Amino acid sequence: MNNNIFQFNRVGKLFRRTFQQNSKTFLNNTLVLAGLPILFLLIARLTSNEVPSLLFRSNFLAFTVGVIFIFSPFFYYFYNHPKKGLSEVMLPASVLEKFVVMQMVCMISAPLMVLVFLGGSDALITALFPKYQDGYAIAHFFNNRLTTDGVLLAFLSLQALFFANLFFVRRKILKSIASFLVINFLISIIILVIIKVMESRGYFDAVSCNMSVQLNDRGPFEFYAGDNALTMFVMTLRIFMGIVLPILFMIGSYRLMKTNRY
Amino acid sequence: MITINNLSFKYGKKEVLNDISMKLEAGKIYGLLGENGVGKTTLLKIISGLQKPWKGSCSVFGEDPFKRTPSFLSRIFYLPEELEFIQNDCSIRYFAKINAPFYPKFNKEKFETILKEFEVEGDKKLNKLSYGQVKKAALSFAIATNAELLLLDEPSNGLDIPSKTLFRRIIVQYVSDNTCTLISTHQVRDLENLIDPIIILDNKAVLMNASLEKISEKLHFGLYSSVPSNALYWEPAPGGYICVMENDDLGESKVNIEALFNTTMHHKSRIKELLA
Repeated sequence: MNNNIFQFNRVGKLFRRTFQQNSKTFLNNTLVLAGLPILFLLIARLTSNEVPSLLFRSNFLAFTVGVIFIFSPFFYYFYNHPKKGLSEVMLPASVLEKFVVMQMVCMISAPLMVLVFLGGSDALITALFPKYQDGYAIAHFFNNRLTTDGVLLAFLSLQALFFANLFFVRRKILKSIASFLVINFLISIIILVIIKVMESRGYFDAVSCNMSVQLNDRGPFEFYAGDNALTMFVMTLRIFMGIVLPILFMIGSYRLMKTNRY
Repeated sequence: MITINNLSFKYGKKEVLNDISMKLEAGKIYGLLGENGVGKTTLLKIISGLQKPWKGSCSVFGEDPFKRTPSFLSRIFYLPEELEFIQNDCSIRYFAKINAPFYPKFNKEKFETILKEFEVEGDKKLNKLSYGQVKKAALSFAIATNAELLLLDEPSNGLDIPSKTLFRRIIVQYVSDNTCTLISTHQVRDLENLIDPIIILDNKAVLMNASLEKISEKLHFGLYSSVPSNALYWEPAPGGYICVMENDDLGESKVNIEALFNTTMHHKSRIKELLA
C-alpha cells in the first residue's frame, strides 16, 4: 500500500540523506568538539600549570549542548527559501516525515553529537591521563546540570526558533532574536498584569511575604492539595511555557511547512 | 494527466492568471510560450504544487498538487530556471546518489549516459561549474528520474548553441514515451522541431493549445517576395518576407513557431477563434 502520510522507510532515507548531504559539516563539528578538551588542557597546562576544573568543563559542556540544541533549527536555514528550498520541498516524502526528521536532528542528533564528541573526548582524557584531569564532565553534567526546568526551557527555545526559522524568509537570525526578546517582554508584562489582578482580588492574602516556591524537586504536573495560589500560578505557568507553548510552536511549524508557497 | 479548470492566480493584488482552462496528456512535449511576466513560471509552480490557485482547480494524476504527497512528488520533476537549489558543495554524482533513492524509476545508466553526452564532469563540484554545466547536470538528473511529468522552466537558457541542439536530441531520445513534458520558454527558436503541441499564454489567458498539425491546417507559413494582401502577419527575412495567412486551400506548410507566436500576439481573438 502506498502510504502518503508516514513510512519508516522514507524517514530512514531522509535521515540518511541529511547526514550524507552535510557530512563535511558534521565531520568538521565533531573534530572541533573532540579537540576542545585537549585544547583546554593544553592552555591550562601552558599558562597556569593547573588542570581545567571539573566545574568549568561541566559548565562548558552544558553551555555547548544548550547552544547547539537551541540553535540547531538554523541548520535548516534554507528550507523556506524561495529558490534554495526547492531541493527539500520537492523531495518525494511527506511533510510529516520531513518534520519528524528535522525534529530528530535538532532534538536528538545535534545535542548527542556534543555529548558524544565533547563529553567523550573529555572522558577519554580523564581516563587516559588522570594525573592531569580529574572527574568526568559528562557525568557531572547529567548529575548536576540537567534539571527538568532547564530541559523544558531549552525545549521551548528550540521550538520557538524552529518556528521562527520557518516563519521568516530573510534575515532569520536577527528577526528571530528580535521577536524572541519582544515576545519575552510581552509575556513578562502579561504575567505581571495577571499577578497584579490576582493580588488585587486577594488570592495572595494568605501567602507569606518571604516564602519561596521550590519547584525543582517537582515534576511538571505535581500539584498538591495544600498548594497556595502563588505556587499554583507558577506551576500553571510552568506547564504553559514548558509544554503547551512548545506544542503550539510545533503545530505552527508543521502548518507552515505544509502550506508554504515558493 | 493534467486538468486545469477556470484557474486564477494572484500575487497580492496583482492578477497573473485569470480563468484559464486546459488539458495536458501523457506522451507529449508541450511548449509553453509567452512574453515575460505572463505567468508561465507561475503556471509551472501551480502544476508542481509550489503554489496554490486562488480560484479554480488544478489536478495532476487526479491529485491536488499542493498537497505535495510523496506519491505525487516521486512522479514529477520540476526544473526551475534558477538552479540555486542544486548548487551545493557536492558533485552531481553525489547529488544523484543521495536523491535518487526517492525516485523509484531513477535509471543510473541513463543518468551516466546523458552526463557523458552533455560532456559534464560528474565528479566536479556543482558550485564550481558554470551555469550552463549546472543546467546540463540538473537536466541529466531530471530526465534520469523517468518522472511521468517533467516540468522544465527555460531549459535552454545558459546553454551554448551546440548544447541547445544536443538538448533537443536528448529530450527526444531519452525522455520516456509516456512522459508528459511541459517546457516553458520565451526563446521559441531553441525548441523548434521539439515541441508539439504549443500552448501560448497571454496576459491572463490561454490563447492557444493546439498541435502543429492543427496549426498548419488552419494557418499557412511561407516565404514571399512581396507581402500578400491577406497576410495576418509578416516580417522581413533574407529573400523576402515570412508571411502567415489563414490556410484557405494553400496546403500544408512547416510551422514557424516564432512567426506563429508573433501572429498570435497581433491577432489574439482571430487566432483563438481559428484554433479553438
